[in-house]
Amino acid sequence: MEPLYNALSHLFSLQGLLLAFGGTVLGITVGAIPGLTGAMLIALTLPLTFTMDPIPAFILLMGMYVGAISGGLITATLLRMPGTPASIMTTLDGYPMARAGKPGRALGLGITASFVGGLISWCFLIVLSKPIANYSTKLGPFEFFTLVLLALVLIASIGGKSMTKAFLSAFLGILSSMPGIDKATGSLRLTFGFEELNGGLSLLPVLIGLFAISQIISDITNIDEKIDVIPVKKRKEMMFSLKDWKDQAGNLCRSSFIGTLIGILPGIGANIGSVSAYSAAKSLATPEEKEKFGKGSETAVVAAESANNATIGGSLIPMISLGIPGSVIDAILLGALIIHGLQPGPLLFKQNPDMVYTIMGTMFVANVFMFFFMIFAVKYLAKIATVPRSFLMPVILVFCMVGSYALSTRMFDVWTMLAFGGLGYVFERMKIPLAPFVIGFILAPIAEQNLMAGLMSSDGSFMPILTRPVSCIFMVSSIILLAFPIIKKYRQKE
Amino acid sequence: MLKTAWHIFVVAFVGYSLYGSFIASKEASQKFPYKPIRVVVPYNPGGGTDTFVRIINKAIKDEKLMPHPMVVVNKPGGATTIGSSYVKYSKPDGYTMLCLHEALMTTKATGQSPHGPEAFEHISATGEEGQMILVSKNSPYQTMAELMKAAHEKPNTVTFGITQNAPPHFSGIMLEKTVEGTAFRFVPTGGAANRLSSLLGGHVDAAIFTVSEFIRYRDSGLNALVYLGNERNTAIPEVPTGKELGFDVVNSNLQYWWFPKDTPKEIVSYMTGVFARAMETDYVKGKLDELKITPKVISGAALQKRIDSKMSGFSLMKVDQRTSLPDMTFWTICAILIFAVLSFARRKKHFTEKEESEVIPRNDLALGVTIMTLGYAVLLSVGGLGFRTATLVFVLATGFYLTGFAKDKRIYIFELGLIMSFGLYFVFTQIFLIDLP
Repeated sequence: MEPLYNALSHLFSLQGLLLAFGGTVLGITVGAIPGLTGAMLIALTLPLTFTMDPIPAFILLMGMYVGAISGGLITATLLRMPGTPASIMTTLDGYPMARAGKPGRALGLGITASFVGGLISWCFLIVLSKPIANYSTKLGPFEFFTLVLLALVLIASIGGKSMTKAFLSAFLGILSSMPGIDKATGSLRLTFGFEELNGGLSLLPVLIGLFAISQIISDITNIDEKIDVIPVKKRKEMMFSLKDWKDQAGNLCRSSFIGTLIGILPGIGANIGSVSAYSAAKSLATPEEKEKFGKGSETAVVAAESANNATIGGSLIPMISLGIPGSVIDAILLGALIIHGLQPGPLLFKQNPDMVYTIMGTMFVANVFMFFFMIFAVKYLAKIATVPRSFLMPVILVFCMVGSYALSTRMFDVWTMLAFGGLGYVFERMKIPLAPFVIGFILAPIAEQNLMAGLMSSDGSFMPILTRPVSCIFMVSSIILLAFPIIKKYRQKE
Repeated sequence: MLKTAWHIFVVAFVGYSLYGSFIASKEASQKFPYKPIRVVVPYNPGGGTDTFVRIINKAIKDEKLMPHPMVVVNKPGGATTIGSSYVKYSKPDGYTMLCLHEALMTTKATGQSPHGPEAFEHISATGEEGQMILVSKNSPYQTMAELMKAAHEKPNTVTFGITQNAPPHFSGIMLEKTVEGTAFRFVPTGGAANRLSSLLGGHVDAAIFTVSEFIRYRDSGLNALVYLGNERNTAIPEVPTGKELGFDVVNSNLQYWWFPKDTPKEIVSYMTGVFARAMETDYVKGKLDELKITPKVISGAALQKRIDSKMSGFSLMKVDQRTSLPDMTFWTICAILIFAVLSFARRKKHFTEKEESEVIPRNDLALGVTIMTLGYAVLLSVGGLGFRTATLVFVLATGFYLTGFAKDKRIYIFELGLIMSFGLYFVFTQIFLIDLP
């Protein structure tokens, strides 16, 4: 119980609460500004936490995570611009509601749904992560390898429109993770004589480049875009009535459950969770309700928002218990754990239980902060979204530079960041999704190391992948997932 | 109202930053060390070496053993070669130092790094950490003799968890050499935590850990077979040494402190003295006892001798690749080519798809800012202007460019420039103690 006490005493100290609150508020604000994403905020904040102790650092980062996923709904509803990719589905019905004179109602539904979704997935996080972590020491290198493979296939086959482009992106990410010292043989590869590449490309500059720089370029391109805000007048209409609770209870539970489940699947995150819950809600709705979907349906807003917040708790489960990120933000948090000297993986529960409890506790506290702050400040937040981008861009660019440099104080990382910024922009232009690249970049070293360790212990034989039951299940599921869309397409053609 | 508050905030913040940086620069007098010494740790914060350095540094700070405490700089990566080559190429003025254990020698011995101890001046070696071999409670091998017998009778079947080419790997190889014809199957499970989970999950038969790791994890079901020290460790008196069991392998880690080659002798001996005194403080003694690290200090001729004998030992051992593995790079590049062709072929069919946009995209602005950003990075790389000036110039240039030099916005851009240059510089160098270019 001592680690729990330790975590809680940190969290409920003045510093802890301030960090959690500050993180949540910053997250909401950044989430509300179109063009700035939570992944970007967390990647840029990470260098600032180097000198902090790991626990306060994670209180701050977790606050940002919860805030950033939630903040997007404000601009999605009032401006028809999803503040973060997670709230794309909210624009479909939230904005029509706002246009029809019910902006407060739409926001209120979204905020409460976010809160409930967060709490439900939090319960799953608490209940499931420990048993999974305990079980996972039984998983050997081949199981981990096939699990990562499954994650890669998942993100590629479900993630976007074009499966081949998603795979192209994932494999380019894998290739980018390869320069440096080969963990299995200890020899150098793909460094082309650059001594700086011995350590490989660092995660942070790559992420800042891919997400921040490419976003800035496209934001500047669209700098003339006019932003109209629908004002929110009455705060009263934002609260859920007893009738609302009764009407939406089933929808809330179902959508949160879907969100959590999608979150648990490694590699895919909030946007897909919310798309799935939205479609589920649509197919289960009454005919007259179904008619309203896309034109301002309350059920739709509730489904989308509860699901996207529910993915937070879901995707933290594999992050905490297996050391495999459930989404891009989790991948950054995983990097943050390593930077703070903690070893993510099945043993995190044993070695750093206080960190696990901190992550869980902060998620709860940040959810509560998020709820009250959003209800209170939603009026003003909508205005922040209209801060001229010409002010923001120079500031963010300097932060990108400093953030990449501070990691290991060398210019090499800054140039890496800029190069990946260019790459990210090219990807956007060619409509190649970025998420598979990141997931590939992060998961490939885990996959490779496990595969090599497995092969070395089996003396070079691949057979254990099929003879060990768990790895066989993962392998077969990957193949099915891979084959399913192809077969479907083939049938359509016929 | 809001605007006034903003202006006041800017003036106060920038003013305070300038004042803070000024005070910091004034404090510099001329006697060594007139400014903080940077210690490069080639690992992430929180690891063994990092923790050790921070313990010593706290003692230096609390007991005022130097005018300024040291600044810890983490330069992880490349199996420690990133950090060590950074120090190697630093000015030998005593203000940059490396702290690293035997990995400096093993990376040289395995050819991962072109330089070893010979490229540095050694200050001292502090804090000895013993290694030991552990098995799971359920393992078929519960004594050292059983383990060695199995590895001898059926070579290359007993799996042994290591970190590739790192000190634990060498301990394993040294052990093989004690009995002719013995061979383990080395599995690169990775760092200590991974080695532990592989051991507990039964994925490897044995693995090497440090004493403190054993004490931390022993409740999870581990048995110690042997302690690889000269004599038994007082923290674990029940574990026999390799010598007692007839497998004469001694391998321990010390944290070595290194200066770049040609650092003046006075500075080296000054630091040797500082570390000797730091190791004597109650704080360090207490902390090292918690971590089960022996508070040993070696310096001067004894240190040179230890380094020489270790180096010759390591270079005799050949790390060979025993299993043939697939070439991952090759397969990845193949996959990229295949999917590139597939996506490209498909794209042609839908090339008419084009998004309608209400506003004209400002590609000119994006291009301009991109060029400015590249210029900014070049300025920082060349290092002539310094972070503050370069940043001020950059923020002003991009800000004015993006706002079209609008009159009402000029003042804000200027304020932003001041905050980002002087303010950020102060926050990073003085509060976070991270150097900027």
